Amino acid sequence: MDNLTCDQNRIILSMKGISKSFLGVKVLDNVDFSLRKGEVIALLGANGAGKSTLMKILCGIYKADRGQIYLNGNPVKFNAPIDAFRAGISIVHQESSLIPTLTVMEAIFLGQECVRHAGILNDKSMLSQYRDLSEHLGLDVSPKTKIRDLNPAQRKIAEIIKAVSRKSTILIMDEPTESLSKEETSRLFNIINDLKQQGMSIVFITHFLDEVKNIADSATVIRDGQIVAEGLSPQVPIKNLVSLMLGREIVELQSYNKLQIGSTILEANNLGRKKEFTNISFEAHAGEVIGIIGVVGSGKSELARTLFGASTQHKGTIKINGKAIQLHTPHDALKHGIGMVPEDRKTQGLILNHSIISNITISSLNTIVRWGIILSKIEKSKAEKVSLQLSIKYVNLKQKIKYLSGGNQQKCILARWILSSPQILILDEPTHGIDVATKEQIYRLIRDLAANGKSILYFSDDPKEVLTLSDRILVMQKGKIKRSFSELPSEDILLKEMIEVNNEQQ
Amino acid sequence: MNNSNEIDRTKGSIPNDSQSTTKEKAISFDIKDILRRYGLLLSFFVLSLGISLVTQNFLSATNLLNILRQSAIVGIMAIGTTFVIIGGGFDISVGSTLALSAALALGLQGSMHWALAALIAILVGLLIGFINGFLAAKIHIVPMIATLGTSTIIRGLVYLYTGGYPINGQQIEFEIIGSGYLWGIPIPVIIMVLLASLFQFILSKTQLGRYCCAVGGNKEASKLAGVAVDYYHIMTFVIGGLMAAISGVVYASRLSSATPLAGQNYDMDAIAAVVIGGTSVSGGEGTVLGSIIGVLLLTVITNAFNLLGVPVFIQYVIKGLIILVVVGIDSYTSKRE
Repeated sequence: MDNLTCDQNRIILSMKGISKSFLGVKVLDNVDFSLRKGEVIALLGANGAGKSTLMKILCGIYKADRGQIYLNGNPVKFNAPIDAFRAGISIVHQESSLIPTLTVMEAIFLGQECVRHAGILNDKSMLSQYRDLSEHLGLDVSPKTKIRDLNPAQRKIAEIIKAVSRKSTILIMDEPTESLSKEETSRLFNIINDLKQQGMSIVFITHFLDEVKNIADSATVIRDGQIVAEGLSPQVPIKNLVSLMLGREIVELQSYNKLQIGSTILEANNLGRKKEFTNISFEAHAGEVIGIIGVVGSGKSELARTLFGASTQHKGTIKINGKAIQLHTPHDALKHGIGMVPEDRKTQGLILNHSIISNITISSLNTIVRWGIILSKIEKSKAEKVSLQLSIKYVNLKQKIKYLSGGNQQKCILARWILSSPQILILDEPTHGIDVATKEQIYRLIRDLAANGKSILYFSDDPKEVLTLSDRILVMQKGKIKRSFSELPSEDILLKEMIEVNNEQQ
Repeated sequence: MNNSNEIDRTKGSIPNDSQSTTKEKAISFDIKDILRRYGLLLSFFVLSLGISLVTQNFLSATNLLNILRQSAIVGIMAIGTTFVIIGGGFDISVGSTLALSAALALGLQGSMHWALAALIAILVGLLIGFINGFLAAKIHIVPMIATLGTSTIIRGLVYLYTGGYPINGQQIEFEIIGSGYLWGIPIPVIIMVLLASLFQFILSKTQLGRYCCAVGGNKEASKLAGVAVDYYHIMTFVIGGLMAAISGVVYASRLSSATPLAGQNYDMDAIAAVVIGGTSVSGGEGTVLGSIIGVLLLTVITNAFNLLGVPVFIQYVIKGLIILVVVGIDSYTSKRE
């Protein structure tokens, strides 16, 4: 296989015998990986399987403990990301790496600015390049917009533009479609196909297994730090891919027993905030999961934050158990029995440098103190119990939470709210960047919470998961509740309601 | 078949292999961990040992007690600074707060009991801390700038209160706080040790301490976990002001005199000690004990220079270099991780 000389099939990258450990835990174990010119490989694996680590080694962020990387047959050594970048390897990270205070254009051309003589920036040339790329990828914002003012989807597109503008030969995309809508995703796939035609090789990491057949030439599956399958045809059924990822058969995505709903807990009346959303009214009951669905920018995240007191509410009233309340801060919300799993795990959910245990108990510390002193034995036993319940994998509860995989981190945030036990739990995209098996666990957990009389508000942009979980569904569009379904509709109808603009409503 | 057998065999041997390597890894990691945890203490002792070899008087009981007593005032201040920095802030007004507290503690003695005067001085420190915290947390002024402003105002108030002249002590009992001994140990040292123990306990074992760390570690995430972030952010500054005021009272008692210029550069020494002591400049992590060791380290160095007869001007340069080297090693190694 290695001897193929045909240029189009030439192996341009091979990683041989790569091993890497963190804190004594083996994350990669003797991994071989190779990539041909103009090939798109889907790299699949559960959370913590080692796919991100492998790619971070490839682009010089981590150094392998053992093993060698060959580019075009020549051994190379990357001491820093800049070395890999100069060798033609670019990465689009899962979490945004763009600097929030720069403008879109500055961020995209950072480090590769078009320069006239004497270091003066050539704004004109950058602007025209930016116009081409942004039109091509559909980033409809002024080049002078600050990165921090972009929504997550726009940020992702900006990041892809940045990588594309670097004209690298190898492009790694770590969960690029996660915050993209269907249209944006298919546009991205068109671009990937273009890049491929131009001879670029792409490693595509995704949790959305149905994307594999649309975009990849082959799939490689990594599990527990070892490659368990490579060169798979993209037509392999999703079920088989999942079994490979998990190392066991999975049960079909089950639907859950819907429960009899209880008394009204939350009444939202005519809520509004700036231009983000208006006229939002609904009721939530005990034992009920309400799916609130909408595309990015529909105002659902803003609504979630407002219901938790994290953003100021400008209009309308919120009643809990029949009593009108004012939410100025999340602390108020917590006191009224509202909890929230925020959208962005790393920046809004976790204190990365703190231990697992203090991240888990932070919202329920009031119940574990006497005279302000933390009862450490009780804290430990509570944290251990809830970690066991959620099967969180850890070495030591005192270990920093940043060393856990994304799925386990998300479970820790859920554990936090299980301990705090609010009557209303708001979840904003809690399964982003999480593998199939963990998603299943999270769904089951949410249904269990509802069964115990909690009221759940589940904000998501994924029709499938909302249909799996919810008792009722509210569709948000352009800051309004466009439609509410008390009976679950079909996926097609739901999707249509999400993305189709209803002109009569205007 | 043959092939797969071979693969199986190699795979079979991997667990043993990897187990032994993980063990080694675990051990080497422990050494690293110990170094990170106790490296400062270790270097402190190595340095002290080195100094005792080249100088004659260093290890004498008088000199050691002297070092401890000299450390006490900045040490007490550094306890508060530790909280401020852990909470993600900076407080450069503590030097001025010390001066105001010292001036009040002595100046008010003319009309009341010294204990009441000291209490009022301490309460004023609390108030200053609250104002700093309010400016930082509620008005959202960058802490460095907020405390630059208050620092200037406080220094002005000290001048107004003292009229520009030193205030001298009048009540002999008051001087015991700064100059007295208990079981042969200077009282300022006892105060420092008690306060350091108390606040180390608060930092690591109480809700207040946990939430101060959380706010410094990630304010947004703490807020979204339902923590009353503004309250705890302000509390770190309140503790900072409180400790500065207490150090001011000890200062006044020790010197029995308060000049308008008292406490200049003490804030910088306290910040340097806290950072040398391993508290993360970006907030979220740190210990009071580390800061105290940091203060001792700085005092020992100054002391050694004096014993060796190194001119003061050169001392500044070397002290600055030491701060950069200690913090540089830590920052560089943690970055490489």
